[in-house]
Amino acid sequence: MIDHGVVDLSRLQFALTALYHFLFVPLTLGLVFLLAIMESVYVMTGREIWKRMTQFWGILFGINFAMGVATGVTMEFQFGTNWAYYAHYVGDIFGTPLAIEGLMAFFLEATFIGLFFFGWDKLTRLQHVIVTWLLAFASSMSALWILIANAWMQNPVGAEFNLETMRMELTSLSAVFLNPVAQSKFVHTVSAGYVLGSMFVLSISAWYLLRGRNIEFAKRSMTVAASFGLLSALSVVVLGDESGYTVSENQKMKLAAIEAMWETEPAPAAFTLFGIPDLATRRTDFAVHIPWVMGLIGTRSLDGVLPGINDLVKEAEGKIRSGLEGYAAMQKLRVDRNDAQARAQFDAHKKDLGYALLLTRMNIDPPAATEGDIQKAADSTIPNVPVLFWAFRIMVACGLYFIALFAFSFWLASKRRLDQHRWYLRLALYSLPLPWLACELGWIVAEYGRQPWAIEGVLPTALGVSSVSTVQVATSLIGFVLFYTALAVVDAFLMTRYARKGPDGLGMWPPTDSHN
Amino acid sequence: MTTDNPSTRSWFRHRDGRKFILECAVIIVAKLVVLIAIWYVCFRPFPRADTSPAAVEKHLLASPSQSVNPAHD
Repeated sequence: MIDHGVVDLSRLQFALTALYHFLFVPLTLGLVFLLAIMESVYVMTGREIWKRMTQFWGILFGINFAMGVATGVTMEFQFGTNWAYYAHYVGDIFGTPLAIEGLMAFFLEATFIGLFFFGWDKLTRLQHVIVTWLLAFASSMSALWILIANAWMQNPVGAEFNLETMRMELTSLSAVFLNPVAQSKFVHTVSAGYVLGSMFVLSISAWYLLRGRNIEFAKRSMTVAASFGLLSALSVVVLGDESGYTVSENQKMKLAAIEAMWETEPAPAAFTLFGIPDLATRRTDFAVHIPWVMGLIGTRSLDGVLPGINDLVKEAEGKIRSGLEGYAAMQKLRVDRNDAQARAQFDAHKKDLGYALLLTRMNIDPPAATEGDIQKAADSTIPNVPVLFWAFRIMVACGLYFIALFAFSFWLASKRRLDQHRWYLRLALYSLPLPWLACELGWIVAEYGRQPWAIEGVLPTALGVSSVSTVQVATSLIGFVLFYTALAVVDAFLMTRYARKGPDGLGMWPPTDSHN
Repeated sequence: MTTDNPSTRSWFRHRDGRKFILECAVIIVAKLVVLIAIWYVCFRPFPRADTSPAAVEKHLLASPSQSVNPAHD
């Protein structure tokens, strides 16, 4: 019998560690590209200030890297401890990109970060800038493999269930690697990191200008951040649209939940700008619609139909019945592996086996399921609509705000008036937390929207947990919370200390005889 | 305009720079120590989950003894 206390605590633990880890990842992804751009300008112009800019922002990058590295390892702990059945059931596929990430991307990243910090006096300018660019690409490569693994959970391609081993097994490595969801998630996620890195540089530089310190240093930094940030913010929105399109193809329930679209609308569907979704009554009160927009985004056509939640529940009900046929055949094969009729029945219905497993998630024995149980299981395929609805809208609003802010910053930079409006500098400074908020909300939409599935349509989340007790999970959860809280305090202290010191306080700029 | 002087040492090799590198190294080592401690305290004492095919089969095909309403995800 499934212990839902263990399921909830395990999910909470994984969510907390993932959300915490993702505070560091996008800053690493974004800031390193800004370092590479600044150092490229140094190599091309020979101007010392650009080298010092690279080194100063490199210090903050180094703190972020030092604090962030290994915070993701705890998630891999959890695959083995709290999610042992998940790890066994899909490890044959899921483990491959994770192993590649660890062996290839992480080691590349670690090597180049060492060369970045210790190579200033050992390498030529050209060699060092190549190292910085390789560090930037290695960071993104790390993200690529993780996102390939994650995308497989959203769109499980290139694998099938093996009755002998009772697990999913890889049938096509290329299908997993070239998963369209992975491609769209990768470009969307790294672009969001670039926006975050740009905002980080823009905000701290704005603070220097407000204080009247490091003027030339800050203005140059803001110019780079505004240019790169504008391009990145535009990319996030365009590539987010692509991400939405792939969701409409393989996670229709997630898309309908994001839109709080309870009924199937005539094509092209309207976009709900505002509303108050109610799960109990399955309606959205005070809804404000924009005609056509959702249909165009989701189907890229005027006649493509996006199914509503109620129709998708009916569809899930049909899949549960089909899955029950496969489940019954699996039970027969358990008794007699050579039962040809059962084998044929199993092969015909195994694609829907995961839907039958939704019944076990509710502690209902599938063969004994009543009509009411099947309906209940079908209803359980609806994720938490209000959370997804609002998380998505706040994320999109942040994305549009970033475009406006970076566009204005770019215009000011082109007019050489970055330091002339204090209200703008305050706005840039106070916008610092927003990209983190948007990134975390993006993960909530992607992962919370996948529920009740660990692997979409294949494995319900509740079935993935280990046979452990709530005390065990609670103990490790407390350990992680204490660990991460301590790290967050140290991180905030170090970042603030070095940012406050600034290039002048650290003796980096203007250069002196003793500090070059 | 200040120009680059290749003969000068980088900031990371001066006192502040060395202190910064040392702080980062200490943080990473301390984190690894804490992670190892968490492993020994929170995970190692508990038995490993049985994920043999037979156990997974039992896990997926077990007959639950009672039905409950799931909490909403």
